[in-house]
Amino acid sequence: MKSPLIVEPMFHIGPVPVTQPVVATWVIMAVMVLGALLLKRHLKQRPGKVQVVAELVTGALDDQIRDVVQSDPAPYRVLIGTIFLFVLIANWSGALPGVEPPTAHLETDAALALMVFVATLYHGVRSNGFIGYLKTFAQPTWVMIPLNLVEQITRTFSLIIRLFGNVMSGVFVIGIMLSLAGLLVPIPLMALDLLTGAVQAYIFAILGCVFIGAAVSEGREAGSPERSAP
Amino acid sequence: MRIDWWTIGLQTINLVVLLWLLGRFFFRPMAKVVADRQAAANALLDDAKAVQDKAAEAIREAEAERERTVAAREAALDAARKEAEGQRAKLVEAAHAEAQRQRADAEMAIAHARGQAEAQMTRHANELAADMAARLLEGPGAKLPLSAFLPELEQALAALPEATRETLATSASPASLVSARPLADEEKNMARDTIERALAHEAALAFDSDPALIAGLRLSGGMAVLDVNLRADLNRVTARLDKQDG
Amino acid sequence: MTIEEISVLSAAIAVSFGALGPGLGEGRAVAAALDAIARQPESAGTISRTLFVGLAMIETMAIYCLVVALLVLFANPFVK
Repeated sequence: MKSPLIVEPMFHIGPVPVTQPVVATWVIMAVMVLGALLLKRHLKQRPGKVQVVAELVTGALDDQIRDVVQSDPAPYRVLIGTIFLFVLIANWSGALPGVEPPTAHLETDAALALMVFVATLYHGVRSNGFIGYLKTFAQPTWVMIPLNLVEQITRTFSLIIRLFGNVMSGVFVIGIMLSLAGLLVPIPLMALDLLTGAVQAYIFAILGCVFIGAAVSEGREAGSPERSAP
Repeated sequence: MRIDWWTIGLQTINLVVLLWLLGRFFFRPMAKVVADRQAAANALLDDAKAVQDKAAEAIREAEAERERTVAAREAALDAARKEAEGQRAKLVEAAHAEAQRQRADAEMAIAHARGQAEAQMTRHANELAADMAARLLEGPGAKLPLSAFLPELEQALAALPEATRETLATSASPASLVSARPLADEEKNMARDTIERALAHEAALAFDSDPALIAGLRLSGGMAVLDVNLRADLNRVTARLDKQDG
Repeated sequence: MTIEEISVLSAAIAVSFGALGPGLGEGRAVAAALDAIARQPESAGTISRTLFVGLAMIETMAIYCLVVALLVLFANPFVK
């Protein structure tokens, strides 16, 4: 059986090896941007069906962000929304035959978590100032400084591993099922995979939002209730 | 286990590009369209609110107008009531005055009637007294001698104006001498003498008698009538009494 | 017993124990959530959303075990 942890390069552009997740990501990007362009061209005051769905999604996103951050969702909307939509579509792309979702590989998840990490630092510094953001690591007492620093790293890793493990395990289980009984048997598992993919996309986005919100609000109020995650 | 750093880098770049593209082509236009619609809806709501406000204003005005009308009507009613009361008071007063006046009239009429009745009664009493006096005097009067009246006649004649004295008892217009009882010739001569003395000329006299004189004489001729008798005295007394009572 | 056999055995043990704890935890979480929804049906949306997030968090433990098992199976540093 092929190891799910190793990706082989499909081809090389100069010295750069291009792997299968990268190609899949390009395709997904192309689909999303094309869809966005089509939608943008047909944006109207009186929305059609597609526009209604799109507005519903963005409205729900705004509501969730507002719930978590407790402030105007506008600065976080693009990042959180993009992460959510990309992870969702990537997870669901596994349902297409012959496509392996890019999120089933550690590198894509690492890139996503890296973005969240950088955004957390950026928003923390932006709203509290550099010194102010550093001071939040000493809360509630200075004893917590190493723990808080480690937490920053571990929660990012847990973000990576959670998404990777969920999606990869789904793909892996379906692969095993296919090798055992090819016809019809994997279908319930694939349906479960779709549900898991949606839930994981939601969780990834919300956790990123929670991290950013904690970094923003820690300067204001000591000890946010939703700040740590396993 | 091998981490493919190239893939991580490529995916990161991919995702950043996707972030930018989606932000540019999806989230901003969506937010814009939603905001635009919100603004349009707000404008509509504002318009509706303005219309509603206007309607409320109109209702308030109508209310105020109605209240004004009601107030005016009440004022008019009040004024009418007051006027009616005033008129009634005036009427009552007028009626009172009228009643008072009528009562006063009636009282006056009653007083007048009483006065007249009293006057009549007095007059009757006077007449009765005169009658009684006449009856009483009838007997003794007849016994009085003519000489008791002649001096008085002489005085009365002397009191007459000269012109009247001269024309009295001339032959052209003889005077009549009326006595209470028929005179004897002797008495007639005595009377003629007295009259001629007073008139200083001859007297043409026609003698007559009238018991109504009770006692005494009446000389009448031309314009002059000289009463020297009890009847004339009684009449004078009665007239004075009447004048006093009336 | 070779190192490969020990690796397979340890992977199985890791996944089985890793499934046990989160299974119990998820059962308790779902029971509590159903209880809460039965008490307050009007807040079912919030509760189920929180439940899903919580379930995914708990499941992460099992996933960690799975990842460890896969590491043991496919990226074992002791296997040459």
